[in-house]
Amino acid sequence: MTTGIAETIPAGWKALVDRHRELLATGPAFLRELRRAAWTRFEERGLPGRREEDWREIDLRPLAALSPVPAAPRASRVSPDILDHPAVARPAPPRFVLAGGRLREDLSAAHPLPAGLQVLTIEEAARAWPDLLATHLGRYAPAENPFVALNTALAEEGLVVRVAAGTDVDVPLHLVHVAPAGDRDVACHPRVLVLVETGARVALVESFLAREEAGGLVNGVTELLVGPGARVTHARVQHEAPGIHHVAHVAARVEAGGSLRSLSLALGGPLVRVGIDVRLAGEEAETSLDGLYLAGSGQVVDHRTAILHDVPRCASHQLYKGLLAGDGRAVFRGRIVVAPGAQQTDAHQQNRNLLLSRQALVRTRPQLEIYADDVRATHGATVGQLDDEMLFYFRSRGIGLAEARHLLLAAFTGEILERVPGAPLAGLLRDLVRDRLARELPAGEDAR
Amino acid sequence: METNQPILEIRDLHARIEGKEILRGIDLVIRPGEVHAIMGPNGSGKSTLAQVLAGRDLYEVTRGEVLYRGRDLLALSPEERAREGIFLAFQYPVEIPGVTNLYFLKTALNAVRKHRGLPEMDAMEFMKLVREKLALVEMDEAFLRRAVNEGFSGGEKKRNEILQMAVLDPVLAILDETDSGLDIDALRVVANGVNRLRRPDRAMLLVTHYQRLLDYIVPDRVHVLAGGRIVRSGDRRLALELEEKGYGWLHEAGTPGA
Repeated sequence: MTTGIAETIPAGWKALVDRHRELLATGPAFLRELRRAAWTRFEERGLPGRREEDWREIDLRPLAALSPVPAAPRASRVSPDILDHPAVARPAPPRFVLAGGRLREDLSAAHPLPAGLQVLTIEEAARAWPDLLATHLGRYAPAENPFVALNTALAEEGLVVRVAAGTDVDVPLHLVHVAPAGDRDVACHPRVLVLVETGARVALVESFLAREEAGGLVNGVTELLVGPGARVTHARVQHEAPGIHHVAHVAARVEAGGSLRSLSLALGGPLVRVGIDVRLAGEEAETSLDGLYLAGSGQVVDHRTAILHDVPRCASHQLYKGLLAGDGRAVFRGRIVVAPGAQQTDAHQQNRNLLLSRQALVRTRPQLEIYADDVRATHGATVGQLDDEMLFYFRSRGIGLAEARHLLLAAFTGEILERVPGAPLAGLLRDLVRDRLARELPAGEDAR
Repeated sequence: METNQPILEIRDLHARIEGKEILRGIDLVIRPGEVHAIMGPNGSGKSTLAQVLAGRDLYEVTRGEVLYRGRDLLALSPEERAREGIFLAFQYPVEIPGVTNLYFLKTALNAVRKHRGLPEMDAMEFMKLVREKLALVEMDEAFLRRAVNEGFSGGEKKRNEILQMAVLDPVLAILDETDSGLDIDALRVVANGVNRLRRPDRAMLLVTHYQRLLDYIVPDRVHVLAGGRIVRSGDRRLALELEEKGYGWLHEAGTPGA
């Protein structure tokens, strides 16, 4: 084994190469093989360049210029007060806190864990359910995606959530991912696998947090299997520090009659890139993908969704909304693929954006690939400003311009926020978005 | 108390939009308790006048002045005008998804009350007031929980405007084509509501194309607007005359700018 690093890997990432080699020496054989193969894929390709279609709008050079250290050794230094973060504010149990991708049992509150719900680290799960893990881990996220490969190669403990057939979990399960702060940039590769068996129901919230001073890369992968007739809500909340580059992939497979409600809230960062793939693999499966993203000055938020209608009689609905302030930028690419024979497909996509300044920019592009003929598919995208007519209506009733703007923005964001599972969390996020908008919006009655 | 100070005095008002002059010298005085009607053909500037008085910044005032209770109205922002007691019932009330009627009304009322040095209304007091006003326009309480004007029929939108007017208790109410798009029953309800809001210390300006509305809301004065100017003024008989002769004679009379 050589000690050098391939030229496809950023020079400053040496510490990650070393960490990968350490990880190759531990854990069950299949996991080691998974890591090795993933690393090979990453090494062959390196970080994507701007010439690659999927990454054209994203500048990864600032990320490549970092010299991050693996986050895991610092995980134990994350102090409990991170749970006072405004986006979680001490979530009620069951909650699991992962710092740098490793489970912090002392910060987690597993009990009482509802019967039929099991949560283990990936290594524990690999020992307890070797066949299950071998079958599902790494099966849903696109292996060829360089960041997915990097995650697989570098994921630490991670988490497996298993919901047994027929189980109805009536409180949302909260996973809190913390990027540890320190004197150096860190790289975290949180990995989650969610297996929801036949007819079970569960809601899962993943929050990605960091202290203000934290910096580096958070590269998460979450895979979900929604079993036949199962109903799953998956919400992700990204609210990290100005120095955290956030890349994530959510990949789900939904079996016959199953339903997945996905929600992505991205509150901005120097680079936020979220990919969500849903494969509707069994008839009468359905999914809704909703999102809300905010990007202020110096921030880029990029969402890519891909819905694969493999079989007949499935439905998908997407509503992504964005607010852009300052010179913030956003990208939304929504891909819908209806396979040959996937008749009676119902697929709808909407992307609506509000620009709050002249410098803000959004790129939105639907991508429909339809290979069946009995399909209802619609898409629409809007990019606009706060409606002058609406603002005037408010003002003509005595409501000041600043308040009118806030009411309109609250209405715009509320349509997505009201879909957040769990009233306490939904309320917190509403406050968070409101405070954030208060900072982003120009003050004063005359500002426009 | 200067009971006879005009509520509104418009002098030589000129206004334009996108470089096109719409108002070309309006003069109008409205005193407390009076109801004035402005009639005129399409494009005569009726709605522009209503919007300019409410402060819509699409229009640029190029000449003239407007005094509201002796103060320079044009120096005030739209919200200040509303808080000072000016209310515009829109011809086409905008739909505002995601904001409930109830919340909207309460926010507006409290903004106005705050300006007038009154405390915010609590939920109980507010509901009591709103229920009373709902009855005035024969609206169901369920309307309060719906988003502002969203999915409302034309008649519901107009009734909602009158509801807002009743709640905000204006000094000068400007009703822009409040009769347009209403069937006869809805017109009667809206007109009834308006009539019950007539008061000695309140003035109203009705902007309308048809004299039909004036069968229900009887004005003290009627003005005919054409080509951006008031070309005739009279009592309500003028409206009847217009009904009979139409607006064509205005053009034949060589109305400037028409």
